[in-house]
Amino acid sequence: MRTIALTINGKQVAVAVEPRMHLADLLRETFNLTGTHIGCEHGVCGACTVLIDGAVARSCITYAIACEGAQITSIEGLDEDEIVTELRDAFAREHALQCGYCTPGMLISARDLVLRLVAPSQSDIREAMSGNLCRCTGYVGIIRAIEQVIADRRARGVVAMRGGGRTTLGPVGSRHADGAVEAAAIGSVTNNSALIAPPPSYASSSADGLETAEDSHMTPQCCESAAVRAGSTRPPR
Amino acid sequence: MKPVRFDYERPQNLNSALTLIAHHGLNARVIAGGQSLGPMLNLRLAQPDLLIDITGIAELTQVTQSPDAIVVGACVTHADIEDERVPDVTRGALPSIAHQIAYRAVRNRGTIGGSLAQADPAGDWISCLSAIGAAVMTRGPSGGQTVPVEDYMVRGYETVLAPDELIEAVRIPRFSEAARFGYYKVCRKTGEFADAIGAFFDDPARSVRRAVFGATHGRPIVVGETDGLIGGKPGRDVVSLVDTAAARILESAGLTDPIDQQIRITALRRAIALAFST
Repeated sequence: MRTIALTINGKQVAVAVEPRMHLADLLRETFNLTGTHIGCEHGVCGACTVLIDGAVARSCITYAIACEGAQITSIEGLDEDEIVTELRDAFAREHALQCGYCTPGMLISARDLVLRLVAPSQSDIREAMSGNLCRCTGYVGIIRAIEQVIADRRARGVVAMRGGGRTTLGPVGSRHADGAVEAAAIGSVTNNSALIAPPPSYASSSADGLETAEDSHMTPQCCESAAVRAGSTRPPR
Repeated sequence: MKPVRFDYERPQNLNSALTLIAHHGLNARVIAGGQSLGPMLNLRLAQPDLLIDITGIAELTQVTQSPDAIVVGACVTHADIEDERVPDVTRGALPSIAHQIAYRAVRNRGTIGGSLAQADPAGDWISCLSAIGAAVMTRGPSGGQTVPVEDYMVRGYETVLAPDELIEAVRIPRFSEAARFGYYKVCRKTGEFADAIGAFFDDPARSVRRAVFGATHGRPIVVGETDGLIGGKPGRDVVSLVDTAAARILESAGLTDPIDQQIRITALRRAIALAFST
């Protein structure tokens, strides 16, 4: 057993884990957060999708021990999230669920689409949601619900955010352990002009109709770290 | 669906990682994003005593540019390439390949080095990087070497990496203005591993022209001398695939089934069409 510290739905926790325990089991068995569902348990069905450092990831093939210092957000942590609230209403309206088993993963993946995609067609949404399986609905209601939320938000002037606001390189959740350095910092400390920081895409992206992490409508609990990092790596305007 | 019990180490630099690998040998598995190894562990296809997590090593997410190439650390993810957090030197080719790998939730953790180390014949990077002339940069106790991707894979799931080596980075050549690239994969479902892959690369400025049949039963079939296989002059005419020549190449590589051949010929023909569609 090893003790790791991480943040789950905004709360800092320290917990002893066996190295083989995956993140979905940690959420369900240790913290009783049973909204994260386990379907296939090998990365195919999408039922276990959660946010790690604000980005979608499969919790069944992410080991808890690899998430030292990471920010984990499960469906329970998105009760007050603006996008998920809109998605819940749209899912109810469009009959986008029946048994509900896939729904937590569907909502979290759908939120990622709403955040990132500018003006997706129905087939773009189908493709982007293809990692989440539903055996009840035939997907029609799900696709329609997501389409409506994106259309509504774009009509209100809420624009998409490229990459969901992520600025660091490497697997989400894995850059926090001792000694890990943000990619942006490496270039400056080594003073090697060949080394480059991640591109300043969030500063220059307003021209493509994309917004900065600061202007986004992400919830504080899941996106605090993304906003901080965007600020720390953004060049002066 | 639970892995066997294993121990876990998270070295903070390459030398510590190499020491651990050398000490534990084949009883250890190196893990980065875990998007291929994770399923294998859960299904108990892999039963290591120790996982060596290399994602804490800052050197492995470094990116360095030179006039003719970009060198991308092994732990850079598919999403990092898709979103162009790593600058694109391939005129959109690599971001579009990255976008087609599995699903976003997988791309946020899966890495380019992990995909190459796994050496699944149906993986995207192995075929695409073979076509464009990229190279794998390895690191072991006695130093490193740079191996062209087409020579790196020996057969399915087997590479030239020695048991005490790991992948440090991938060198991706910068495309010239005139370069053309096309990639097509046949999948039963979006995001699944491919049944067939075709890739075509033509960069007249560097006199490089390659065709790749991927998702074979082994290493990708890279055709560097495309005379006879492909008609038309590089960079000028719209080129076309010569089916009989393609079938001969596939046959001599051991793909004798007519359906196995036809699906790959179709994938390559569509890749060529995509390369010349703009």
